[in-house]
Amino acid sequence: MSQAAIEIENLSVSYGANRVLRNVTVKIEPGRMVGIFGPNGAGKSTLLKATLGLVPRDGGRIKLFSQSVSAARRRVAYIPQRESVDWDFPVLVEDVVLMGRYAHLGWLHRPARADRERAAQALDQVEMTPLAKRQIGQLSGGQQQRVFLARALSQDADIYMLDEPFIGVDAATEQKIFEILRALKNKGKLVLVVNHDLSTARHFDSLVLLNGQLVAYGTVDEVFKPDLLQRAYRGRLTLLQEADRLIALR
Amino acid sequence: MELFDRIFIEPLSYAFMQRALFAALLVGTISSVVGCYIIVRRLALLGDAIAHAVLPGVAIAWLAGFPFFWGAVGTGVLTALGIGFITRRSKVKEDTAMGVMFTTAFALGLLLLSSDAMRRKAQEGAVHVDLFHILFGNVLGVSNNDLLTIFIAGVLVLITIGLLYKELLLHSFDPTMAAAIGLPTGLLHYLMMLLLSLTIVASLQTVGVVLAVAMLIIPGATAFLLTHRLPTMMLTAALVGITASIIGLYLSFHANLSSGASIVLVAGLLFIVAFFLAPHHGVLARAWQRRRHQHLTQMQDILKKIYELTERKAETTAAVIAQALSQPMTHTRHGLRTLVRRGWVQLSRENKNLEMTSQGREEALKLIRSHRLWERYLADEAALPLETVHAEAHRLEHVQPAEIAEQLERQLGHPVRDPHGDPIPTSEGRISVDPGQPLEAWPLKTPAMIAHIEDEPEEILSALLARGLAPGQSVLVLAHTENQIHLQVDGRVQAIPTHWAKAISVVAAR
Repeated sequence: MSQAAIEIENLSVSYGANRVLRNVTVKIEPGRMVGIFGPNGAGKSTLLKATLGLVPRDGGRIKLFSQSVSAARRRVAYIPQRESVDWDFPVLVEDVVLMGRYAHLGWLHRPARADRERAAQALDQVEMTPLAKRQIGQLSGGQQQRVFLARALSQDADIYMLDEPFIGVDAATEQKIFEILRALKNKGKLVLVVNHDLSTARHFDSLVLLNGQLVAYGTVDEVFKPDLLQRAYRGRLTLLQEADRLIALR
Repeated sequence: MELFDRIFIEPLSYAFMQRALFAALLVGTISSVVGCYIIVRRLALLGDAIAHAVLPGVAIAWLAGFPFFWGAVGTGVLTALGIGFITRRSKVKEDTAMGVMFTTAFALGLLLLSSDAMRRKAQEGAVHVDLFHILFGNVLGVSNNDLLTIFIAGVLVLITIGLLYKELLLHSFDPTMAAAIGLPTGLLHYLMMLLLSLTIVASLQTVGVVLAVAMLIIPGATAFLLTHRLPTMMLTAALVGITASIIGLYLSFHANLSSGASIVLVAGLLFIVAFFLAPHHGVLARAWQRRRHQHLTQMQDILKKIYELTERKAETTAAVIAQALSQPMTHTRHGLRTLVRRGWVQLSRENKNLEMTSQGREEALKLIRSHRLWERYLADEAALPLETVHAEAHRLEHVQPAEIAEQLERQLGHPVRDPHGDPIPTSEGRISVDPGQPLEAWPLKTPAMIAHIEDEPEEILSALLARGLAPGQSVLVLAHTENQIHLQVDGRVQAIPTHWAKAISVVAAR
């Protein structure tokens, strides 16, 4: 058994009087692509943020590669939800990608030529090099998401966290993103994707089902089952059994 | 030259004017640069709040006898902290918390300045209290001491911003990632508050408490309209700030006006100019682009019409074209002038017809190609009803570049006809499909297939489609009566008005 990339023990998080996560315990190994699913307000994004120590927790322990979060956080690349970004910000595509390198630069250190080269390479990987000199807001939703993926790639992390990366994104970009994420997984990285669209569940190796508590964690075949899905979505799903496939409608 | 000397050089023979110019330049630069962060982080209101909140600090410093600079920075920072505290610890939102804090602080400042203790200090000659100058600035009264303070504050602020550029950029653009990679975001926020307070205090002498926020926001906002990158935005903002400071200062000197008001007003005017004249995003630039696009559309429509008329061997005079497009002659002539200038169209030597040059023909075919590919796409992929695809494709052919047509063609699998049955020209501009004959002229009882239906007028197209007459449909002409044609369609007999049949072309059925 390889060393766990993320170990969460009894994690609870509240916003004010509102408890969002309750006693979540889960242990995730590297080298896989994990989809985090659940209804609105299930605490999917909160789970990512709490894992990085971005929101205060009521209790529980979190280890990244058996280290404390603050010791290992630079090994995590995080892609925020689209709506949390100010797209009018005066910043060029290439500047955004270069930010991925900041994780490895100390205070007062400027990005060196090697950093710029790594960023250019990452931009090339998502096929956005021709748009390097554009202001970030001039791109389409799909192109913006590719640029943020390039930023994460340039960080050369061991864990990649994506919060709803497929909202407002075209089909070609969705495919491209999955392709790149699979390549990361094959290199032994851990990829965590928060997603609300159950139709993408089949792309993942493992699923985390949340509804405030952990409903299930396991391989897609173990988790994508009517009783578990209904428990996570509190019976608000329409499930269709078609041949050997289970299709979930919301 | 003499005039220049009199306006700009002569005033500098006064020492107070030299100091004023230096102070205005410093403040114009620092405020503008810091202001860029304030704008991108949407803290404009906080800037205003801190500016008002320095007043009690100034008063306390005067009463206690220490440099007003530190008093002002102190209450400025305290207010920023207080606003954050209230927002975090209660359900009161930030804008409300700001309103509460800065008006309270401002009132405290006014109270202290009007107190007996202050009056005694003033009588002793210990301080010179001039409320008007604190509130609205008096750059012409800057002392050497003030200048030194402004200079030190400015250097501190600019060096900090230079050293922490990378951290401040990430923290402003994506605070979540900044926190995720372990930047101390709280500390950076308070540092920003400190820089903001220092800047405001430095600008008190030039523009005063009430207008301090103007020098923070207006140059930055102007630059925001003109630039796409933070460093260029800062540089542009500094230039705007400096220009406004210089012009405003001389204005106030020569016309004996309030210096703060003059400087701010010039900055405001610069913003308005940028708002209207900014390339790409300015109001005028957009109007210009719209007009250009309209003209382009008109011109392309004329070119296509000339192509169409030429194919039908019809007359192509300006009057005929205008009528065919149902547009005023002036528009047609305007479009034709551009076409002639581009060498796409020329006037025939024999008559008044307008002829396409080979280049013009090429351009026309490109447009037709793009139009028909879009129609194919809209009908097949977007599943739009056939009678609406023409109008939509007409819009798209004018706005989408030619490369997209190539991509569309590949995506659609190189279709040869549009959904109306018209042939789609190849990218080399060749048309290789039999255009067919008019249905009216087709021999009786000879199996035919509809090759094409005119997409205009739309009412006839939809009427025909409603009767099942679409491109690809097999038909048999049974008889002609006075103003009807009788057809057999899918084993049923239909009669359609002869003038409808004009819209249909047919080829021999395979």
